[in-house]
Amino acid sequence: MAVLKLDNVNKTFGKKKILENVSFQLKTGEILGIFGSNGSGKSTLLKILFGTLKSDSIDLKIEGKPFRGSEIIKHQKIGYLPQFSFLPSANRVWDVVPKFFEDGNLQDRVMRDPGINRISGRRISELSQGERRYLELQLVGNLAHPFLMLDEPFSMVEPLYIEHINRFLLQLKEIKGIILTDHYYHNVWNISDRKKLIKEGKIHDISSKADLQKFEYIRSLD
Amino acid sequence: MWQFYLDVTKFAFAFYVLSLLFMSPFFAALTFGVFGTFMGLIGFNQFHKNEYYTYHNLGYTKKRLLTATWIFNLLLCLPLMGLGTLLVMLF
Repeated sequence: MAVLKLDNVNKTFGKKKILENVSFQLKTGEILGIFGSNGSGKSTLLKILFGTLKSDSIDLKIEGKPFRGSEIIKHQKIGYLPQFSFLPSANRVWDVVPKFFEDGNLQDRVMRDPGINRISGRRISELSQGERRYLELQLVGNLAHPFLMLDEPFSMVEPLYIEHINRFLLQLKEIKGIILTDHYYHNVWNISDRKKLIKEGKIHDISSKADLQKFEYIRSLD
Repeated sequence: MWQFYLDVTKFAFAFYVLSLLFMSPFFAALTFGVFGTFMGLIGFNQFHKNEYYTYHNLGYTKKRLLTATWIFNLLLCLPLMGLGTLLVMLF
């Protein structure tokens, strides 16, 4: 079991404090759901963890080994699904898959997935939002990183693909630690083992939906 | 990685062709080798910026991508310089 230990993340943009002493732990085999309204700092936190955004301070250890800045990228400890599409739009699905996986068995596994198989000959630019999101998740999720961060994987995705994504995340959880954020909070709530919320730069433990209401993330418990 | 090289170098090559209008083939090739990658990077950042996340997920940092592309193009400029010199001598 691998452990990601994050301590003392601070980030300011100008005079605005975005993250203040953010700390948490994540183990492989669990999904951590992070809630927060727009601009609360969720994506900023994920980018800092992935090494593509500098923080004012950070103490990150994975399996006891400290990492700083973009050096985490070359060690391939954390995979990241950003909010926006990141695949070359002119490529066809069957051209993109081998770029992610040299191993033919892994290529086959991804290409044989029913959600991928039926879109394999299409260009990325021709895929629906849900199809593209599912493909991106399959590509990043099947890489060897022990930890995975997903920024809005359910965004604009039709219900059928949400079921596919949920099933896939539960499979991945067996071998990875996953951080999940999304404004479709029911989806995050249902699949997460632990929940946290970022408000005014600080991270809080969430144990019930009433906590989400207390922190003014939701209006009612419906 | 190869895809990144091609995506950057297509813009760098356009810069090379453009620079042929203003300088000799030898110096256009030299300029391509030394500065072309940086011009290509501007084009990549304009049209493919999101794709960095593909490379980062595969373990490539921006620094590594840029360094490898620059070295490749620096090597590529040598035959281009030779070819440019030869063309000037012939015509």
